[in-house]
Amino acid sequence: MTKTDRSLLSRRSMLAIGTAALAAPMLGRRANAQTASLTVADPGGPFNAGFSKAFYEPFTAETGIEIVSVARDAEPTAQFKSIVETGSYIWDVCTLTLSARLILEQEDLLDDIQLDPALAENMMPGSVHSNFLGTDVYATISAFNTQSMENGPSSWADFWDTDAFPGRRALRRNPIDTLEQALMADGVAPEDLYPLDVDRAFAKLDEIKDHIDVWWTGGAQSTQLLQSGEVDMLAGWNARLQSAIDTGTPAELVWNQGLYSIEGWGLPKGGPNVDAARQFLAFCARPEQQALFTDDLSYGPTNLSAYEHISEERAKVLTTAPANLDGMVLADESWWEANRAEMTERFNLWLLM
Amino acid sequence: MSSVTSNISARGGALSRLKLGPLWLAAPALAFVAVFLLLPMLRLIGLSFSGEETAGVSLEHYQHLADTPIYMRILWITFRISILTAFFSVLLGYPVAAWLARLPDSSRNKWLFLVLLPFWTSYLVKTFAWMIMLGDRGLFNSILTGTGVTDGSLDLMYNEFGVLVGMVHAMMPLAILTMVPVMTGIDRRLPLAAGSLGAKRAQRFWLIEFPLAMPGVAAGGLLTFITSLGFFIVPAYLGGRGQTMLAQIIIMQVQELVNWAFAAVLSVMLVAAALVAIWIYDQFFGLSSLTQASSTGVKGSKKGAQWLRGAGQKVLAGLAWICSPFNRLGDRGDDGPKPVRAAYLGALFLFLLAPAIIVLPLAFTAEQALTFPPPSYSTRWFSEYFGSQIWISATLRSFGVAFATAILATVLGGMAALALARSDSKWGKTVFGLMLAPMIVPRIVIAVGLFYLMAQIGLVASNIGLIIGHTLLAIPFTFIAIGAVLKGYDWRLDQAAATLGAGRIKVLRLITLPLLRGGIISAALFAFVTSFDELTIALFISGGLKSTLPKQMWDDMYLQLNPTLAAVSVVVLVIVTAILLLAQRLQKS
Amino acid sequence: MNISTPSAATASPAAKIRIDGLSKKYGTFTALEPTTLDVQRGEFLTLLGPSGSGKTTLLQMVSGLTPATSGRLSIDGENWTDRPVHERGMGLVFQHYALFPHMTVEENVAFPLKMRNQPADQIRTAVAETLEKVQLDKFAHRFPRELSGGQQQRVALARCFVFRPEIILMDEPLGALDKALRETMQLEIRRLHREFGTTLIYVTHDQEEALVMSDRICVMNHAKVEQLGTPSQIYSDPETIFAATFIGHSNLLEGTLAGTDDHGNTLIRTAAGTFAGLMGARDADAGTHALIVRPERVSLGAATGPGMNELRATLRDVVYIGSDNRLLLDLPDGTEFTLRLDPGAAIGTEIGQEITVHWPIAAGRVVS
Repeated sequence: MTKTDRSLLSRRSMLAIGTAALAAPMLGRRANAQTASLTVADPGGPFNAGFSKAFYEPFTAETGIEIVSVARDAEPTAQFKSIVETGSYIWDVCTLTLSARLILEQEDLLDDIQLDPALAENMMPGSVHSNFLGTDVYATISAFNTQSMENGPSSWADFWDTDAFPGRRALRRNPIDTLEQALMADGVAPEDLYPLDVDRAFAKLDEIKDHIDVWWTGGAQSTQLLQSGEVDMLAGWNARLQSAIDTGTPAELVWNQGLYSIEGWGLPKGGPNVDAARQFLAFCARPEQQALFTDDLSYGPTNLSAYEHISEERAKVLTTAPANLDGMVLADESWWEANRAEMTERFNLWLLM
Repeated sequence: MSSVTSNISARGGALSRLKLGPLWLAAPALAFVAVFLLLPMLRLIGLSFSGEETAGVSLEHYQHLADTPIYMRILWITFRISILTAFFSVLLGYPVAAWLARLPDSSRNKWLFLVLLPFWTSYLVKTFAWMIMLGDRGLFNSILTGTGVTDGSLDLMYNEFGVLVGMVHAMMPLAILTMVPVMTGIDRRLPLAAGSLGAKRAQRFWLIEFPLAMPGVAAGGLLTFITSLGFFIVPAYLGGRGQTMLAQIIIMQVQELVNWAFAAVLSVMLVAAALVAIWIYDQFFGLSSLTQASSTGVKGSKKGAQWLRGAGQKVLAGLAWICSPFNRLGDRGDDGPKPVRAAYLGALFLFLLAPAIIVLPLAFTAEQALTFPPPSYSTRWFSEYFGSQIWISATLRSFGVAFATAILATVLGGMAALALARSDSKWGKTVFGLMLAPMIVPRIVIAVGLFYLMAQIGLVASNIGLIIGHTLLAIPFTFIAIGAVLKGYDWRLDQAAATLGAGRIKVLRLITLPLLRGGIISAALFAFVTSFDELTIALFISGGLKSTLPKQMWDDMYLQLNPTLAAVSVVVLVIVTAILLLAQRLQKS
Repeated sequence: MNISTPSAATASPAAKIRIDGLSKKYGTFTALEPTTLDVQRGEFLTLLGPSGSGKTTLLQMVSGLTPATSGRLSIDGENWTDRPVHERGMGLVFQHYALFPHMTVEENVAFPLKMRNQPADQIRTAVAETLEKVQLDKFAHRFPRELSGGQQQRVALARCFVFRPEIILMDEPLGALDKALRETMQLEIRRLHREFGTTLIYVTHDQEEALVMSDRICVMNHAKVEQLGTPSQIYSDPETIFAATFIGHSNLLEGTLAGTDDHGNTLIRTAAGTFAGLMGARDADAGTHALIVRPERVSLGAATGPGMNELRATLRDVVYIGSDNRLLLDLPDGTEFTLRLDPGAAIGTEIGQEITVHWPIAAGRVVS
């Protein structure tokens, strides 16, 4: 029995957060001498198309190092963790959100990117960390169907105003962004949001609870909701809403009071191809490369010099275009990191009540 | 009398021939389940008792569960939805199963195909098809408002109704497939005999047919209930704010909050709920009746069963009395007036096939958006699929993995079923429970547990890892399918062959296997399809370069919902249809 | 006793069951040609024939389990052709008993009484009595699967007799039992039949069983009735080759009709010579004819006087079967000819030698 207990304990500690690394077999490691290819995990879909054109193919052309791209999960933190803890490096580079970066940093699972500071000069504030290179900026905004509504809500207060703006509504089934939206609807200025006044946010949410027809979960779902006319107005990620418009949906994006955040590359700690991976990241910081992905992805480049290479018309639908960025505020990942579990529980309970 | 004694001696003779006892045949499958299911499960349980700071055993996570009202509420919602799903799946599926059971074998197989078809359609595709049909501007509402049946749109989705439609649709094939073998096992002369003894239509049904089908009904209910417990795609996409199920919360804990310990606690809850359901079933019917194709009725030896029998008979007599106004129906020997029955069957098959019917035109749309019906048609999304290295390699990988899974699961499950069929050991029940365990433990729990094991032995993102995971899931299916045919197998044939000079291997090859071929093929088919359509394990294990087709579809759906998905679904349907037709051919020849 | 034939029904008005031209077709397949037949009150009638002869089809149409394609069924002079099964009140006993596996013996036997809404105490008494009669009172609480084949059969009988049906139909009820048990059960069924005075139609393919049990036998073949009569009529006065060969052992000498002799006996020319016999066939013009002689009617030696037929053949073998000696002879054309002797009787001929036998003309029947 003692033996079983001990082994259980050791397994537990392997899984537990922040414990010492296990002596895991290093089956996943590859030789480091000459890196022939890098495995890069991106979110797949349009990301893959955009990133291939902007980063993967040009990088291979320049260095001869082949890029093998694979799709990662929507929330790769758990997978990331096991990759590092067990030493089975199935990825060399992976896209992360800022919140995922924070979690992984706290657990010491990220490797240093060692980016040349000169390259970071024109980058958005908050997009470069010692272990993270932001590649694109996405925003949670709202959109409305221009066919069913002549005048859409131009602020969250409008979105909450069911008399002035009747119609079917959707919000994300997640406290993140939704609480901020409620507070802004209640008159809190975007720059004063954090730390969130949670009770006030939930009180405001109570007002609209019965008027929300759909609480969406996946990004593609928000596209579908707008595209099919299932709802007249909704909160969502800008690129998802834009892709509905791209396929001919009569809809308009509302950038005002949006919350933006940054997505970028992270390196699993101790990976076998870390040198080549750093070389790849430096390549991705170049403005002319970043400009290329905006053809496929309506996310904004982090290197603002990229706009020199982007048409004015395309710039309109990109997050980091100055006109759009003005009304928006950066979501505070550290507040969420500290409160996410509690907020998720409270939000889910609130939903069920 | 003499035939009974010869039966007994036949059994004894067969037992003594296998010196170690036939239960040993189950050893490989048991070892497999132990290493790839029990071990990871034990870790999760251990994890659920871990403390945040302290190293020792701690109940803090359970404390949290008890202190926070939301989890009990979600557990209740999960139970409610699962029970309703099981109830409606069995209720609506019963007439179909009863009808199928009465058909001659050849035409039954043809119709069963139509039941299996929705079973094969990927959960993701089915769910999205329902979203297209049930939406505010969806197909049904367009029809309803267009024809003036209703003034405005009905809320068919983003509520409990939507979830139940999606879940019943997904589970009813399982319920039907579980009930049909029991119903075909019922002696068809019994209702006739009852009629000759004076029983009217309602009495024939409630006193004879229904009680005899009861083991199938209960098994169908149990399987659908347990499977429903672990659902997360359907409630997420078709549910409203009130339909959150436990599996969704577990995934959130793991993937978003990275709170493994609490995810483990919730997993333990989910598994416990499944075990309670099984315990109740076992009390009344006996677990082994799950694989029994005959109708032996309520288990007599169980405590409380006598009381239940009495109560059940009274209830059934009452039901027969209530239904007596309908006695005139079907008095001429046929069951139910034909137009009503035909209408019901037609509606039900339409319901089962609706998502496939919706997906087909969508795959040929010329548009970017998934509007139904498509304004114009093209094959561009098929070109997209066939021209894509990613899709093709995912398809080939799924094929390979499913093929290997089918073989491995059929061998392991088949040997275990053989072991159990030939053994009287008191351990039989334990073996039985272990074989069904992969079906009882929600997939998300299995997937999470397996992921760590695989990572440790370097099998993450490998085909072998996938095959292991899928085999684990498929073993219960092959075990049950082969177990069912073994129940009806006449072991004296083996003896006859042995007396004619065949060695044990030859008996197996020339007598047993050919006679059981139908069961074995259908078992392998089940295993193949289980693997081919599997997403949860693939989500974790098939990271990196080794994406399977469902994983690739999931990734695509999460990011960009476009008609390639419909095209892929059609390709999958065509492939699986071809496999089934091939299997049917093989079975005949 | 009233004999009716398919062609001419000479029915008495007292018939319990009147089958009038009942037929059954499944598509183009004829399961039963139009058949007419009366069954008297209290009679034990056996439908005898090989599988596919239509006997079960006929029984099922009487029971109402199978609707008739044409014809009419009357019970006590009333038209029952379209009456539903559960309103006929006939007792049915199936080949594999069709006991309800989810009910105990007691519940099985009580079932028909419950369906008739009899009071519970009355049901209890009736069930107990009937179970006692079939000696199963100790097994009342067992399930059918816990009983032996013979016991299950007795439950089936009890379930049938318990509600005192006026008509009982049995479809090969003893088919699954071994020989010894079958003989016991045959007597049991006869006893119950007499005791309750029921009208009983019994289906079997076992001619011995039919001879033992029946008041009358209806021999069936190829979806129609071959002959209807008492067991002794069927045995001694067969009308067709089929009836003659299906029941008991017969010597069969095929040939062509050759007119009649001075005494009005029919002459038939066969490979072994021309013989005289009584005309048994209904239809003298029908194709093939044969002379039928039962082996026990043949004696050794030359004819001892007029009114005898005589035959020479080679003795092939002598088989001792307990009750008698069976002599197997080969006729010149290779036909086998059998006769039965007392075991004590001297044969006086070596195997392989020629032997002369004879039989009375009245013992031979010319059939078609």
